[in-house]
Amino acid sequence: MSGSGARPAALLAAAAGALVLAGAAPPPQQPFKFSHKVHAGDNHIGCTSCHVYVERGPVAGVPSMFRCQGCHKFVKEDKDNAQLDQELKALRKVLDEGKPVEWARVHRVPDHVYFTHQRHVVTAKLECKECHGEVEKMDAVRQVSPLTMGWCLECHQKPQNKGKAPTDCWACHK
Amino acid sequence: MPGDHEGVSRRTFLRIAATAGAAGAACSPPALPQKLIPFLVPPDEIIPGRPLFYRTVCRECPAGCGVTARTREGRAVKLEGNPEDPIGGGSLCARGQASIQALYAPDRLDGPRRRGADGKLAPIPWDDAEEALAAALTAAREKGPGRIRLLTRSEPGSAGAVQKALLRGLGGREGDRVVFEPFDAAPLRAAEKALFGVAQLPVHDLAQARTVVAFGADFLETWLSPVELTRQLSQGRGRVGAERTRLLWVGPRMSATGMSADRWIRVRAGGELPLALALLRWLVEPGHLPDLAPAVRPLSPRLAALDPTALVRRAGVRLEDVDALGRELVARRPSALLGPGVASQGPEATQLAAVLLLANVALGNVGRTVLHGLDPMEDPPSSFADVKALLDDCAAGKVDVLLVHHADPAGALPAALGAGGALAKVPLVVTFASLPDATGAQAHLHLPDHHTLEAFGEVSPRRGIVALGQPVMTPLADTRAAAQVLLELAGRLPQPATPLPGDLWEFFQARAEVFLKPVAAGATDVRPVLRTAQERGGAYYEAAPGPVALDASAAARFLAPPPEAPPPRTGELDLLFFPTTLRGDGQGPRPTWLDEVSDTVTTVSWTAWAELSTATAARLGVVAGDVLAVATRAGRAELPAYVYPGLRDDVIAVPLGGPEALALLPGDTDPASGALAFAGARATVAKAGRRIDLPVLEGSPYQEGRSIVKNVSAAAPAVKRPDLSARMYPEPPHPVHRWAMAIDLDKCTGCNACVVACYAENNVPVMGREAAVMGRQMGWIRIERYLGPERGKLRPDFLPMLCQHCTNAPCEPVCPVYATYHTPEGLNAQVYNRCVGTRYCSNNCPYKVRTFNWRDTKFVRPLDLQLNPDVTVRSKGVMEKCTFCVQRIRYAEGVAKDENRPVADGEVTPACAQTCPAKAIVFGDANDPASRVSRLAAGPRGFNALEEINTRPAITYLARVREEDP
Amino acid sequence: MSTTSTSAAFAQLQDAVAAVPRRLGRGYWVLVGLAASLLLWGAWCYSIIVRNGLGVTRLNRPVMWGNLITDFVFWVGIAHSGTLISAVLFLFRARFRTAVYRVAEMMTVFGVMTAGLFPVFHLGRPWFAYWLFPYPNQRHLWPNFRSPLAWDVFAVSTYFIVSTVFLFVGIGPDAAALRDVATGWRRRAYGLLSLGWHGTDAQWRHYTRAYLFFAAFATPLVVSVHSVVSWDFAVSLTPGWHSTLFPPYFVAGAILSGVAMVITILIPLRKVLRLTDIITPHHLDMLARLVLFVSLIVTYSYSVEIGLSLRSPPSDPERSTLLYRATGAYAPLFWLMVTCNCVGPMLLAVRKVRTSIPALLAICLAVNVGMWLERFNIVVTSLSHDRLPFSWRLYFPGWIEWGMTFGSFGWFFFWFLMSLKLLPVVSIAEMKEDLAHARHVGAGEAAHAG
Repeated sequence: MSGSGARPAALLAAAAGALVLAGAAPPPQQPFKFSHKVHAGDNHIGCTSCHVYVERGPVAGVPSMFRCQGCHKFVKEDKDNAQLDQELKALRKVLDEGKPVEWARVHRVPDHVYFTHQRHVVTAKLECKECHGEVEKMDAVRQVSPLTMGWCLECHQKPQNKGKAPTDCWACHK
Repeated sequence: MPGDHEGVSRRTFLRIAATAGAAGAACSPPALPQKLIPFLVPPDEIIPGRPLFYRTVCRECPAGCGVTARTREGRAVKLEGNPEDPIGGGSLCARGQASIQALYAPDRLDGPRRRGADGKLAPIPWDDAEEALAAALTAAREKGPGRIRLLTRSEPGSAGAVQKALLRGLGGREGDRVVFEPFDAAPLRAAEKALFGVAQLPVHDLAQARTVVAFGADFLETWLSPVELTRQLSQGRGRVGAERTRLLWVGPRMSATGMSADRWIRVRAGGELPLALALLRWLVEPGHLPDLAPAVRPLSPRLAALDPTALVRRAGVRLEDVDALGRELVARRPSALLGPGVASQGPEATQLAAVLLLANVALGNVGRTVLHGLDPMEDPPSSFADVKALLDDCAAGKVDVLLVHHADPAGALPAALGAGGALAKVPLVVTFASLPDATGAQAHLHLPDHHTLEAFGEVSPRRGIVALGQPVMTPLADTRAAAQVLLELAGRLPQPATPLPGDLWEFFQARAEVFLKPVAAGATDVRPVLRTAQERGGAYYEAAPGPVALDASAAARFLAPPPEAPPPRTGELDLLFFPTTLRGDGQGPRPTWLDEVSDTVTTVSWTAWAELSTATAARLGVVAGDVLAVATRAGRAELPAYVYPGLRDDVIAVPLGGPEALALLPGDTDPASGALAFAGARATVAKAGRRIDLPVLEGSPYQEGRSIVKNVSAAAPAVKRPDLSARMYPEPPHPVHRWAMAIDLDKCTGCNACVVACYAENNVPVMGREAAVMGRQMGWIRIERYLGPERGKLRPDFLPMLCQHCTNAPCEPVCPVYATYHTPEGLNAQVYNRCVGTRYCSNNCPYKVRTFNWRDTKFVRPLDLQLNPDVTVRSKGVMEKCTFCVQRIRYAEGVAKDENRPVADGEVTPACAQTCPAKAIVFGDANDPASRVSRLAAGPRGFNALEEINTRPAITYLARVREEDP
Repeated sequence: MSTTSTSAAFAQLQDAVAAVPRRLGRGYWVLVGLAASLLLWGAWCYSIIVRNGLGVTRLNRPVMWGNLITDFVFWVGIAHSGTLISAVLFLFRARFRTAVYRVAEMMTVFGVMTAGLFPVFHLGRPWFAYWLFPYPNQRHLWPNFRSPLAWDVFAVSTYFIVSTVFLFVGIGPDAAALRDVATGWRRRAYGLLSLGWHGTDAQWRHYTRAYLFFAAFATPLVVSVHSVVSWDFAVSLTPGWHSTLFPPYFVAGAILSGVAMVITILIPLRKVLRLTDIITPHHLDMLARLVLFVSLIVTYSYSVEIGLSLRSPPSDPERSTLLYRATGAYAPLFWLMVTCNCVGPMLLAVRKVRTSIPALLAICLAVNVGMWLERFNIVVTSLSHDRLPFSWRLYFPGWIEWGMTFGSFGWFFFWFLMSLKLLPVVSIAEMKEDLAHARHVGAGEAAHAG
């Protein structure tokens, strides 16, 4: 469907868009201070150990409160970092309440797009960071890729992905 | 289809630009949910975005088909047949498919209610409700037996057992519990009892029958076990020549079942019995049936005494018809004579049933196609007389507490009985219905039951089958399983006679010990067995049919010629009531899908109607849509007319399942069985002077000489197909798959199961009556029912019409924005989010299978919970159509990819093919010459719709076999 | 033969045209008000459509196109007369065009302006109309150039641009002439329109060349535009649409409706604006002959269409659809159409009828109605009577569609009337030429024109 003639132009447009967005999009306000830097960065916790469904299904999954509990049963406080200690106290409070935290969504594609993490992570063996950026360096995660159709196609139309990454509309729209 | 947030403002702007300004602001897309709410504790079995399947059982009718419920993120989204279940065989009928709508009905009660002094229903806590009821029960019990009554649907399982136990505990008598099934084949039970000594229902094996004769028994629609019987018949269909099972329909009206028949024997109303007698007489005549079953020989003299000419005159047929029928049955054994059905259930229904059974015996069908000893006879329905007696007691104030369990007498009994009035006399009416029905409107206490998909329970529809129901999701509302409530009541009663466990699950497990014996094979612990059974959907074991001995002397009583019906007074027509799959028996509110989908015979939706034959309509100056005032001695009703050539001129036909029919039903009984006599009424008809726009799907009911639907016969077994070898353009390549479908029109019964399944699978919106009048239904598949090849010629054909996924699709080149295009797998894709709504594709589609979203559809909570998350919900202004269930194709392809293997044949089934009771729809890969669909399509009966315009569809129809005009 | 008398005549002519705006009194404003209110009604109806979706119309399956597309084709047709009269007749040196072509051209421009709206109006999601234009986008998506609807986008926009340019090129000298006599804002406006025209020989030389070029350039468009529009139907499979006859048939129809509309407008115009001795009965007579001629072509097309269909077997959908037009639920419209487009114009063969201005007006009004009905018949009857009898269904427009249809007339006449306040309705320059020419040759115009 894509007119090959205009690809350069379109790519430029997409790239420009990407830049703008990457630069522009600020991290959304989260109800509860959670740092990917501390978890994925400083403590080297792998993405899949919390986002457990990423290799099994379409959605990566937000870690259940149960899973937070799993570690924070033990990690309750931080003697030598007052600020962190405070945050951990706050976390305890939330966990004891036994209510889920309503996270503000960072990444989303429109409802008429059927994206599956499994295909990209397992089948195509993509690194998380290729789309989500260096999360382990972010205190608050923000969207680094535009997640626009053109952006998807950039990758799907690469010669080396021919026959592997579909460019059929019905691959993502149903 | 709201757009990505970065686009919203732009689109909103363009909307405004596109209109006068203010107007546009009104329709910017709704804000997207921007919250991510994690599990507290993640359920192990659930992977978000992946389906999870549970086996359970359908309770829409006593047949008890197995169900596979697909759930997503903990909510049921689609029901499908359970392939392991011997009854449903993996299929569900339209009603079964629609039953999920009751779960998500917006008007469903979210908790118990009590009717206050002001007559309004007010919420009440469960404890108080049960306490109040317990008190009332204790009080009533003091007054002596019979003050507490229970009206229930047939519950051959725990629920029924609990009811019986509780009543016993309350010192109730046998008759205090009345089982109400409006369409129960009571006359057949009575006849069985009289002839063979056991009041059982026979089980049929039509796959063995070479000719099936239905005496008003609509076994493809509502009779006994329609899904099973449809499958059995279709096994003998789809082939040319003597091997093909023939179906003969006897009745004054050609029903949907009759439309699938090879011949229609047009008896007059009530003519089934005389014809049956004449047939039986013919069979026992010397020389006709060489090996006449000895059991019936003693009856010969009685039969010989009958006057055949009188009988055929009464039947309204000719002697030759009986002769031809007899010869065919003799020549083509084994056969099966079925009846009576609701439509032929008159005052002599039991006699008709008996005569037909005798004919089956005579022909040696019993034991081959008509099987006995398989009816578990667990909780057989009470007779209509018993129900009447109950109502009389109510009216007489002899009842203090009436418990109503999934029964709606006020909604399904003749108005003449005044069920409403009777109920009003009962101080306390308790209903367990969770949906508002006619009876509930008079109930004082509402104790809403779980939906089948939320509850445990088992039913044994047949020996050798214990179908297990299990909750597939946590209850949506504050409902309780009716049986559980009864158990809790028992606990609250002062020292119940029989001690009952307080928990239904315990009770159920105790029973499981018993009913699982045949499959437990001496296992000490029954629980693993139960778990396996639940995973399969039931406990299935071998149960052999038993022999029956005919009591000839009893049989003789049924051979008297039926009393002469009085000649109709001038202007009077025989009134025929008939059931339809979609309208059902009228109990409870109808799921909107069943209202939206068009009736097979008339293509009418959203309303009841009255059928007149072409000649009668002309005589009365009536055209379709004229409102008729129909009156019987019982009452009168106004119904829009539908002119139907498949009807005798001396008959007017009205569908059951609505107040109109109930108003007209006299409510007579068949004395021998105490069953309600639907047949035998007479009515006067006059024009009411109004007319309405009848919501019909059909444009012209005839093929207008265009021979769209092909037929074949033994003489000409192959369809003549045009030569389409010439190509002007290269064909689109289909490197991997070319998805294709074959639909066998010789098997299709137009039952509409596929249509409803498609609504459920693809989030097809219900548009309502006005839209139906205007021709704006959104169904992706419709049953095109052609009455005949050209005007005035009656030769019905069904043509399930859905997107043909053409190789040369006319819709594709005309779309200016590529919203519709040809995928590499041969699918004709529609990309909703690209569609701008020029509607040119629909104009250029010769099959008119594309539907346009004329407006935005609201899926009011909780209806939205039923939406299939794998299918986009379309917004106003976009075109949509059948996708061959691309989401299911993608799912299967995904599974295959994960397992690193090619997709196997039969692994992909669209919703329509999956549920087809006749197994008439086969889906597969046309690139694979060995696939079933390829082989079928290559067969001699194959043809494409409108082949001559060279669209080269992916759907191949297999021509219906027709040796004669009906 | 004195130059003074000539210049006197010139002055007289110029005054007559310059006086037009002054002559537009209360009656004019009433008309403007009427047009505006129709326009507003249409706008209101459309806002309802955008808010609630096309469900508010009476459209259904199978009839998914109705009034809106009918209006589109109708107005494209109206837009045809202009280019035909100004360009084609100019190339053929038909003198009688001079007095009338300006009005015709104005009609063309406003006609296309009206027609161009409907393809957007009839979309299910008009806010995405821009997807029909080829422009590089991040989605890498392009229009489908195989679709006649994409061709329409180009055909109509091209036609709009060319006819507008043609109109304003022609206006240049006149605007200059009027500029020199006008005062106030009109003077500035004319100044703008005259594009700095001073009537130097060089300018005249370029002007005539340019004019000739545009005439030559526009002429093929007369054929192409409506051919392309006809392909919207001819390219499809639908019985009653799928016909190679359509392009010439549509062009003829377009010219018929166009010229009829010119006459319909000219007759009152010349009266009200006192241009009776500039736009003379002779001009009307010539146009009437044109109507007669084109109507004969249209009649021929009708008969060919039906005649061809009769050659196929009775079960053939093509035949069935065409007979259905004449005998089915829409038969009254069909026969009314035949009366208006075929029978009526025949009467123009009679000189007495042709020269009777009321008769001519009546016949041309009828033709306008007839041509709208023709398009309605083509669009609706074909769709309502497609290949599968089971899907047959009728369509009758609801008040929303009528609102849009009448609104389009409001829109068209609003612009036309407003422009009378400014644009010279007769080409002064060319009239002057004619006058001069007349003085040399004497009264021989008819000979030239005929």
